[in-house]
Amino acid sequence: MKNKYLQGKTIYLRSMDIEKDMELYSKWYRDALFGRFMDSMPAVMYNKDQMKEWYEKQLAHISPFIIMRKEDDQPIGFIELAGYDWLSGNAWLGIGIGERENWSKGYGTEAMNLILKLGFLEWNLHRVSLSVLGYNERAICSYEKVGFKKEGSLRGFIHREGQRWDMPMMGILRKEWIELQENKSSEKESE
Amino acid sequence: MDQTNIFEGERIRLTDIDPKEDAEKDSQWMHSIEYARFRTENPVRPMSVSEVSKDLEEKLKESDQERSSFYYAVRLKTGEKDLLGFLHIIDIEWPNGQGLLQVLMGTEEIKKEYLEEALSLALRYAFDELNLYHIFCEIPSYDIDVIKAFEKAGFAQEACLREMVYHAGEYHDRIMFGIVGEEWRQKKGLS
Repeated sequence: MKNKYLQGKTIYLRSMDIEKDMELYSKWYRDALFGRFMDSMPAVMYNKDQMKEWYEKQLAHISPFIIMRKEDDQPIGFIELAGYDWLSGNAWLGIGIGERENWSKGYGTEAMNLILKLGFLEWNLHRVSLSVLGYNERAICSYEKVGFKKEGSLRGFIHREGQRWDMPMMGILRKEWIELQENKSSEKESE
Repeated sequence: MDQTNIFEGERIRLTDIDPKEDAEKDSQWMHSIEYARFRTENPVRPMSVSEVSKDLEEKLKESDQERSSFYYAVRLKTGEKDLLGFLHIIDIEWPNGQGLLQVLMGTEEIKKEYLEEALSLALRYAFDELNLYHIFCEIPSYDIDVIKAFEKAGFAQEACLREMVYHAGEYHDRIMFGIVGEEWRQKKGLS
């Protein structure tokens, strides 16, 4: 696989190694807010062996990558496509940036564009879907920046701190993503 | 407490599944792509009696272990053996009170005759017994009759995942319908 799919400006993607990387995940989940952003179920913590066991079972249905920061070659998060329906050309996107100091820096947006390029141009996906927790406004913003469109919301899906929150569903079609890239490159040319 | 047997409707009832006895009809129905589409994942194809039986056994085993999915048979009240279809409430998230409803009616005729009653049994069980807050279901946009039945039962469209389903040479939307327990109670009180 050529570098162009895995190399961004400030980050790059590398394969996830369940023998070595599980400690990272365990560490990220020690911030409860990370867990509360990742899943509608209660935030929980697992050690690296438990993480490994879970991933081993799932690995046939998930393609995970570690997001690496270029300037210091440090792992800062993960991104994955999962739940494929190859026939209809759909996959679900999951992404998490670990430490709070790395949030809101555009790393996730860059990583998403890389994985969408791979999914649309090499894996022949027709669309990519995601669901997001209604209180995670920062994430919704970055999904919109990449080109995901809100397609509705499951009402009152999450119950936390005595309140109900919706679960927005979002999706992007291959043709929409390609059009966005073409606009980006024509903007560059006219600069 | 109400003394009604909530597993029974006027003409139909919910019972446990017998993976051996029920496999024959299930396999037979799967030779219609319309049924197979709801019954199995892509690529859709009919499964043999032994495959179906094994699949049902695995579902029941998973249900026993996880206690977050329930699989039931829909039968005529007049005869235990008169299988009409299946009714699943799966992927339950207990902390959020959420569940995914699947209703599989064996044939178009059965669907016309009994889907409405099956839905009312499903709703009563989901809200009065499982104490869920909200249930939802996924229906392809071309399945107009099923959509009408869900709307009549009180479900509202919550999301439309564009071009998510490939069928008959074209991409179709996947519609997500949902209903909150409180809405169901109000509707029931009025009728």
